[in-house]
Amino acid sequence: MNTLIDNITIFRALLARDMKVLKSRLSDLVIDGLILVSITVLIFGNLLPLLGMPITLIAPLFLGNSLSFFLASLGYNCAMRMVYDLKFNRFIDYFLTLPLPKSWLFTYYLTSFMIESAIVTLPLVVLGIIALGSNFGPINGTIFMFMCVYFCALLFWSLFFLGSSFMYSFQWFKSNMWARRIMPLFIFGPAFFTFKTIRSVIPIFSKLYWLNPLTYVIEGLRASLLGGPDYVSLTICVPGIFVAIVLMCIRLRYGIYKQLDPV
Amino acid sequence: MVFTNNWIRYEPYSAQVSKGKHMKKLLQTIQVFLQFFYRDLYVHTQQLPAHLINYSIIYPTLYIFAFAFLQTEIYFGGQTQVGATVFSGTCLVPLLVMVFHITFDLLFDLEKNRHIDFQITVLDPRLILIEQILFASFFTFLIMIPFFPLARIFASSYIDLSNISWSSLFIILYLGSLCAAAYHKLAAVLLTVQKISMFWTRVNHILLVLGGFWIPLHIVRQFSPTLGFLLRFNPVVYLTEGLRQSVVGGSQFLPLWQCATALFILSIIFTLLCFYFFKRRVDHI
Repeated sequence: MNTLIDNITIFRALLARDMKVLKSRLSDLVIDGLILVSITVLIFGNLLPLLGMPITLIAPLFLGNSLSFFLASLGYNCAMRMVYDLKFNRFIDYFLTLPLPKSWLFTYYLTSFMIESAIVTLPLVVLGIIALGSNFGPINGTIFMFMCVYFCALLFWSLFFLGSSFMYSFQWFKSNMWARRIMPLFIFGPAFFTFKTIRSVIPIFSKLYWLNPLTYVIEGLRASLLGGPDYVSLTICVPGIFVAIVLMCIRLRYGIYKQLDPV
Repeated sequence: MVFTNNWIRYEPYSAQVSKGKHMKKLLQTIQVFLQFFYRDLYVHTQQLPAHLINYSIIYPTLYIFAFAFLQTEIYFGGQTQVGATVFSGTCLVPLLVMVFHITFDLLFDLEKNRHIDFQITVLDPRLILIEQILFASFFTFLIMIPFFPLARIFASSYIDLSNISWSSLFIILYLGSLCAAAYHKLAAVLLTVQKISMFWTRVNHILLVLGGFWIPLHIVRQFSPTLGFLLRFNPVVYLTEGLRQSVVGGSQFLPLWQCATALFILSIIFTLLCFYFFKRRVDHI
């Protein structure tokens, strides 16, 4: 029987290994991120307003669309590695034989993704805000609150993608994940528009948006950093995110049993 | 003996035999070419329902809802022509993803099973590449056909599709599929599996977003003439400008003939480059 100290030691060793791997990939990830941020700043900050988009939408779009899309891309790549491993390499079999409780093992997967995403996206968010300059508008929220919601958003995405990698087969994931899961989440969530603008256009249909966990995640990010009455209040978003996280945990648990339990 | 108009020309017996052989070989080549085409059709028909659901139903429906309806109302205050301009470029994503799925089979094959080694023993490698490019372009075109008719049915009250020219739209859509297929085939010959994600982020994403997914060329020119000039080297621009010219029309977009010519010439250039790099990758000598 392992002691808590043993578990922590193995857990830290696994994370240290991942950080070493991440270090070798970091330059590539940062370059990819810089490209995404530069294009986002150019399109949302400069070109779409020329077509008539209101300038007030720049900041919420940057947080809701670009940041969330970047997190989704990182999550997708991470999940793709896991799906590939489950189908071909089966490196996970080695992890399962480690003297570490399974709950710790899956927490390690989640933590690894969250650290990687935070290291890559946080500097880019700051850089994007600086590059957008006055177009970004005033920051009426608090950085502390933003970090809390951002952490919850990372946890949500990591649970969503890890769960998906266990739920679906390699072929299904490769062919259908974007079209049937990620895109509908973004389109029927407030990624391209704020929830209040959507509600003003489709008051009845917008009620369905409450069923989408991305509504709470995206609006939570906006409300915590930008503040003001234009976004869904944090008192709604934070409980919404927690419910979404619990649901994703149940989904992940189901996926793990489905994929790994031979009985 | 060969009859040409009223002239009778005698040829030596050996020349006649070699010409007969040549004809037979040509027929054989065409037959093998068509067999490969049918094979690809058979393989991809297995995935046709999934492709149709994803690219002919889900993507158009989602994009009509988000970019034709909501975006026009929220971003552009209900200006139906601006809405149609932006919406026309959105079919790029399903088109490129679809082409990618078909053409990159070659890359996975080159790195794993190498069925291509067998194929090039029965048909000229250049013809195999042409067959694969043509197949990918036809298949993608067929999958993409419902995109605009669906928009016409469900979104014509939100975006202005009254000026749509169906014949030119489908010509541009096919030439765009052809160009995208040749370009992706070239990428499949050049890249390795590990670089696919990088290829999407660093190449395709830039080409797509700056190629007119959101913004037409004249707006980019208005923002920065230098960037507008540089974008003339982006093949995707000719597809989106052609689509916008067919859907919305007007002098602000590039003329249709220019887009069609550019797409066709770029398809040929990509195909020729594909021959060259394919030989370098497969030929060990």
